[in-house]
Amino acid sequence: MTPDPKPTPPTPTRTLVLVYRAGTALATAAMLAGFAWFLPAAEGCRFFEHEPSPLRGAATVVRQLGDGDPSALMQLGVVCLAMTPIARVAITMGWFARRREALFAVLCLAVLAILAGGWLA
Amino acid sequence: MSRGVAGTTCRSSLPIALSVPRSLVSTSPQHSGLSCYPLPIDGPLLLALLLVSAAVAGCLGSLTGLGGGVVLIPLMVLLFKIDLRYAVGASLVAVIATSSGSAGALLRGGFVNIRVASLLELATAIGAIAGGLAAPYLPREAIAFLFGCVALYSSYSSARASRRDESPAPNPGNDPLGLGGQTPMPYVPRHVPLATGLMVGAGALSALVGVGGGILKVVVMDRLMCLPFKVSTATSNFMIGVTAAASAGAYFHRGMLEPRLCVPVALGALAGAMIGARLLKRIPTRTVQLVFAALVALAAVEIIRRALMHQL
Repeated sequence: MTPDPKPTPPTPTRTLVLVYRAGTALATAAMLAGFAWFLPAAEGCRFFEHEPSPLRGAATVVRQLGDGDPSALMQLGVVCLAMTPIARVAITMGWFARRREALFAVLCLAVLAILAGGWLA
Repeated sequence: MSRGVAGTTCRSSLPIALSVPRSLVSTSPQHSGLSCYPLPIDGPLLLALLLVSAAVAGCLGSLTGLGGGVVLIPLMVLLFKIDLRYAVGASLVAVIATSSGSAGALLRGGFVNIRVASLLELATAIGAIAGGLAAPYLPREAIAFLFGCVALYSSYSSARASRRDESPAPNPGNDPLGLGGQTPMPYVPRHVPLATGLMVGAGALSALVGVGGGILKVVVMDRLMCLPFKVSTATSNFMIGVTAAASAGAYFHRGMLEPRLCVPVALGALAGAMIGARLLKRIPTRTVQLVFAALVALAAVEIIRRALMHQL
């Protein structure tokens, strides 16, 4: 009986693992810090009285962060988190481009364009 | 009076008509009925309850394979009375958190097929953008009905899951796109154009209801493309973060990613998923799966009932 073949990790594995670790750690740190900052001020807050959230643009998030709004720091963490898989697509595209796999590089580029459209539009 | 977001106060003194058209918490009169349990809590206690609920949901979702969203959304809608579309936004952030948190382990496992993921991600991203743009214009009841159907299917799928290890027969056919792989056995995906088309629907569904993308992706990759099961689940988990990130952009610009809701939910779901992954080897998961599938089915039926009765 032959043992199961050992899985062969794809080539960009190490870089992608680093990107995921760094992105998740950064986002979690920002969300935790914002959450801890917000908690003491949350007494009596019923939270969902306002909508939609005013923190819906990068400029607003940065401006509110400058004004000392803990929710802006939390939102920055949320955005960082969302950017993590997007960064992964960008790195995968670079990897395909270096290997001259034009089809997959173009596919990744198209995914990036759609993601950018969704976040920047 | 404490400070909330964007210069507003948490206990708002603004007239509702001037501040917002409707509250994030549903305010329909039907919520005072017998089937509704409004919580007399606010402030840090509400945040803590959201965090703990998300952790429990993430843990159970991880243990049962249902995913956190299918548990989180009924909790937020039925227990915390949060508007469904904001609950979906928070669930999308939780999906990104749990997917990103587990991606490293998945990659190291060697079962992720990056080429298949890159091809299918294009389709799911297109669907997710379309779904994310359509979500604010669809009636809450329609989204709730759709969610209920997806949750019911997830529950059924979890209850009958046999968790087979591999596809029955790897396909040694043509592979013009070079999508095949060697781990855990040589395989070549089948029905690639049809699968790619179906992924547009999976992306749209994920964007609309905040869950379902993963389970549909696994079905398409496992049953239609005949990828080995481990490759299907690993590649699906790898992809769902990108699908959720695509639709999260639309939710962000619509103001439907409320950080005070998203952050406790995402942190809780992430912690819960990590705990669930550790418990997976120690707990008889089949029993948990069956009991939990029944609970999710009940929640799904309740959400469908409320959608049909316009009680959301």
